[in-house]
Amino acid sequence: MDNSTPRDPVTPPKVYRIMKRDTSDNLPVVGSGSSSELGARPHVDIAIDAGGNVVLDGTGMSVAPNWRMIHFTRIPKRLRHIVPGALGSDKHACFSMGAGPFERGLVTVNLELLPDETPPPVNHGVIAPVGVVPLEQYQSDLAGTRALWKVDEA
Amino acid sequence: MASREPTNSPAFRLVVKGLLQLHELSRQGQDDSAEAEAVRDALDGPLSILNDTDKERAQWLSEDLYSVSGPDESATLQPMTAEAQLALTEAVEARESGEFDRALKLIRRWESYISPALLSYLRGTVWLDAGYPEVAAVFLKHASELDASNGNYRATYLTALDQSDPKSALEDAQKVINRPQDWAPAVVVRAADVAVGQLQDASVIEPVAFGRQITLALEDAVSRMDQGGDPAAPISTYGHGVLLLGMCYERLGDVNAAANWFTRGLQHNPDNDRLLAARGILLYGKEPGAIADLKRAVSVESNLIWPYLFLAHHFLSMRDFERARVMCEMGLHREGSASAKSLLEEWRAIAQAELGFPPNTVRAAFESAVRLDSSNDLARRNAKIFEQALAKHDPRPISNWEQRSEATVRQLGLVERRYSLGA
Repeated sequence: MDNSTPRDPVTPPKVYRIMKRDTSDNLPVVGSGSSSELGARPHVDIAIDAGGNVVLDGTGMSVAPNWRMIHFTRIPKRLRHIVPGALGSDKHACFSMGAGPFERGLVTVNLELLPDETPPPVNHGVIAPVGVVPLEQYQSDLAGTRALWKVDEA
Repeated sequence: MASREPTNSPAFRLVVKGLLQLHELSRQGQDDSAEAEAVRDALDGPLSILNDTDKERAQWLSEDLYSVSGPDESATLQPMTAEAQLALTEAVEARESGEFDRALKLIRRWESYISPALLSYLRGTVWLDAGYPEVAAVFLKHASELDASNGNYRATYLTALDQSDPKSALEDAQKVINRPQDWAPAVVVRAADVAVGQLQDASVIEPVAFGRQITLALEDAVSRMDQGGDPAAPISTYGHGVLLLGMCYERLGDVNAAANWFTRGLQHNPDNDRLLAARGILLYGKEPGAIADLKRAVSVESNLIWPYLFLAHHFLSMRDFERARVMCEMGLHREGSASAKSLLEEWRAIAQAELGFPPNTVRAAFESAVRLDSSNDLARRNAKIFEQALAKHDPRPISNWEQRSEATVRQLGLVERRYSLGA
């Protein structure tokens, strides 16, 4: 697989992320103040330049190819029967989006998955902007995926 | 598991610390707090660099901690079976041989046969032996709260707390010492141990008054043990109790009372090397019986450095250089402070010189003495005496050594070994 260019957005990669669940609609809570929201923490998850634009340096919102690969400290406690020691909040849920393999590829028109460049099996990646955009645009693009996520704890 | 376990990697230690914090927050219903989120965020880095084995250890530690922090999920306790008993024995043996992962795994596998208090106690002792007293304290506290009548649980908890959080341990010990009659003798002895160990701390207000309070508490505990109280306490508890009592009186300046307590302990166990060393040091240069005590401690192969050090000094002053040298060699193989080892090196050098060892061997021992304790001026001066005698080709130069008196060595021993004996 050619890693240099994004894949066709028709089959976006399947990615998982553990986030706060909005009980009103079972979708993730949008925000950038916590590592458990749909969004990226400026200067923590995503690098920003002096002009307030995102830096395309491989940073972005963390995701995993499977929720079981996420640190057990974040996996909701109710899933202890599957992952012993799970220590995450039960108000959070494991969400997934997409259907394709966990490879570099477009998630939406403006966002792409960048898997970590580590030896396989790769267990982490980020959803990064495709191009340089203001931080607000990037956050808005992430928030725009909200309806695409579904609770997936199988 | 092939590797020595658990690991001592800084990342693993950070993860352990974070897990304890998270479980404590969880116990307080603070799973969703900003504090809990911050701990989770801080754990991402260390967790990412753990190897698979350590990750698994951390994960199972977290799972085991639910028996303390979570709601009571214990299934109905199964009646103990021969097979389960065997597995528990195996777990204890695994712990004793340093196979901590295997011990924890066995305990986990058979946990439905173990009462919650014993379960936490067993887990606590594994983590204590593995060098994680902060984890041990969590489990042991739980065990002692579930079964307050078990003195051993509380005593072991105090041991773990003393290693992980000395300030809290002293506070806890003070509570026990204030009302010794409320506690099993084993707990009082352990509390006294914690308190005596921290008596030198400047934060202890009125150390003499506190010392008297400790002796009263210990006397009460020893008296109860004399009457058969606390049969579950380990045999060593009595010896340790009277040792601490003697040390307290020694510290309060009552040599006779101190010696009497050591003697009382030795009547129960004549080969208790700590008591033999304690009485031997206390009476060194005062009573001839002191040498017999020290010799007996050596004959039972004490792992303390002090009997060897005092006998080395004794034989040196008797001009029995070969026996002095042997004592120095044996003492140097024991654990001890740099200043104690410096003395042994100095005396080894003197004995070697008198016995006609090659100059380079003697010189190396003197150099080692100074290197171990740069404040050992006598070693420096004796090294100079040796070099001057060599330069003069004096065949028996030596007898001009500068020696420490018995009283000086005794005082040094009393101050230095006080806490190592109590350990």
